[in-house]
Amino acid sequence: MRKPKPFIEILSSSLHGDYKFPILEILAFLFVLSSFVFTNIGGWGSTGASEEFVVFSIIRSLMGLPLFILVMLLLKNIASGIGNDLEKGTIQTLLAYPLKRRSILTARLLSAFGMALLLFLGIQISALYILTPDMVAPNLPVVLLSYAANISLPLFIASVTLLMALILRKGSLGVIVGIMFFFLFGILSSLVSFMSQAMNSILPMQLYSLVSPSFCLDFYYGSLQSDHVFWAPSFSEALMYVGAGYGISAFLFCLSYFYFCRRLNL
Amino acid sequence: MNKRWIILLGRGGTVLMVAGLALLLLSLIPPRTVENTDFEQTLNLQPKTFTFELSYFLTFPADPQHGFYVNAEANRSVIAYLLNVGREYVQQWITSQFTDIQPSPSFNGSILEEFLSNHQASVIWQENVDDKEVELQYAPTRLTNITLIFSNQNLEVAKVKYSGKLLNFIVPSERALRPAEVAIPVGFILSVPWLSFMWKRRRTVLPESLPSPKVADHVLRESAAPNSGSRFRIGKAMIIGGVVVLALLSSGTFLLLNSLMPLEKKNLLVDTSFSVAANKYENETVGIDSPGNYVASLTVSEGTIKFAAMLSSQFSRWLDGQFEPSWVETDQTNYGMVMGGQGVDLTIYFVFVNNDSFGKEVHLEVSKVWKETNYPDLLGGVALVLSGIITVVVLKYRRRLYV
Repeated sequence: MRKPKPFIEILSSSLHGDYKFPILEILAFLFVLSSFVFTNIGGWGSTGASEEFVVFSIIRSLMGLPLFILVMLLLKNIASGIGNDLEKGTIQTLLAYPLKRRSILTARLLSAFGMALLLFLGIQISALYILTPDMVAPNLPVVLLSYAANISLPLFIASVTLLMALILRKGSLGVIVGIMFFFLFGILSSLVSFMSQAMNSILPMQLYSLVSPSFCLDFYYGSLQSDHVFWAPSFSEALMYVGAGYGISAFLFCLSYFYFCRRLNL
Repeated sequence: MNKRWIILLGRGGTVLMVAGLALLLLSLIPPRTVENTDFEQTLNLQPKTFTFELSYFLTFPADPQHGFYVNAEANRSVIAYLLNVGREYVQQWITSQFTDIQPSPSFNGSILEEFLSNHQASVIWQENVDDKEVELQYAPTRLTNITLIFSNQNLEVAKVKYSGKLLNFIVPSERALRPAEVAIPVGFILSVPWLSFMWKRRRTVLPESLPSPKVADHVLRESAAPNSGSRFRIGKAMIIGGVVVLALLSSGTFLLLNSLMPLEKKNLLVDTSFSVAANKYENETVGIDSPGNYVASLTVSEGTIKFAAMLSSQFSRWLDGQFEPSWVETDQTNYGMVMGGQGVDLTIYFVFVNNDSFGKEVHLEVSKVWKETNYPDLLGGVALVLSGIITVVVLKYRRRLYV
């Protein structure tokens, strides 16, 4: 008989816990419906917009509600997964496995984030292809960059929530903070534009773009359409912000790993 | 096969199946007509010539959510072409290649042949139009310009009657249906081993998992008589319940999606018929006292008539020969008008000019049109989805109801 692999055991039990039947199916249904129903391609045709800008705008429109569902799913997985384990003490059972702590956390995160992102991106890119079959392949760099930039903020929020759940040993509190963060960043995007124009400086926009690179990408593609934009970042600058966004999230995840492996006393 | 693989493939299959069902649902939603974009024309196409459809709406590029519908019929065979280039581009190409030709809506047929031989990839659709009605619903796959052309290859004048409108899709039906047709059966096949595995497991673990001693006792008594089929009955109830839930949720979702399409309402302001004598004109006045969208629909008993809508000042200037409106020559049309601003109080003059040597009967209808939220579908959808959710809860916790 084949020896059971502890990492796979934890991963499969986490997947089972995070996506009990029919959660995954309902999410898939909602992702598909909301991707199409709330998409609104219109208005660019008459303005003579470039195809790059149109693809970027379609992706922004396609992601509206599904991105919100994704954030809620990530937060729920943290709360009901690692947060719940810490709160109820069931983490002890996982620690009894012959595995390093970092592997346990990796299995948990792969389940919580990996599956959700796979489902989200799979459905989103398929939906984009169904809607605009002849625009995806020629604009693949735009598609990939747009998704990378837009997923950066949810990952940042999820990483903060995870760190909070580990430190406070309570998933629910982390989720509340995560939801607040999500709405706060929505409000901030308008506030930052206003502040930048009031101060006549692009610094607030640049700072905000560090955690939400899609904001910078918005201006980058906007500047391709019109010369009258307040901030016209270059392509390399936009790439740098995407990299920085992921860098910050990666740093927070590393902190979570460090805390879970070295500092968490149970 | 390993149990874990069965679960993995099974869940993947159910996700695929559900995504396919969602696409199937979306493919059932019909496209919406973009407000005031209907056009209806009758062309008298000279022998060996071609002409462009000159609708204002076709000057905008179409995108994957905004397509185009046209139906046409003709008294003799003409060819309709839909090109993925703009009308301006075609006209520019013609005037650059044939320098002695001035820009015009109608050109010699040989010019079109020349253009098409140089732009074969530009032809999206080509159809022979005759006395049988031809229809086309086109949804582009990318941002594209469109041009509709009618070409008369005959030696006699061809009368082409066509109508069209711009359409707004959530997703074009064909494009949603194709992946759904693959995803649903593939998903089902993948999920069969997992579903049968779940079915078997459920049958074996059912007695231990029963929460209520009363129910446990009931099942134990039933299991003492193995041929009674009690457990099968429980399974059957679940299947029936599942089908009911699926039907409630899918029909509720369909109604909710349908409620996104507003209901079209109209208020008839004028409904009149009158005669226009040979080589004379007639006018009808309509008072407009509120802003909004208005549509004038007219039909002519015989032949075509020149028609224009004017404000009172324009009408008096036209009578004095100081103003020339944009005339529409047609036998039947829906003419859209948008009246904006607060405190609208206008009189619109609908003028009909008969240039023929015989009299004509004209029927005119003027209506105010608007859209309303589709509350019946919205409420029905909410009620059905809620019923579905309640049924799920009842099915899930029904064992507790025995207590």
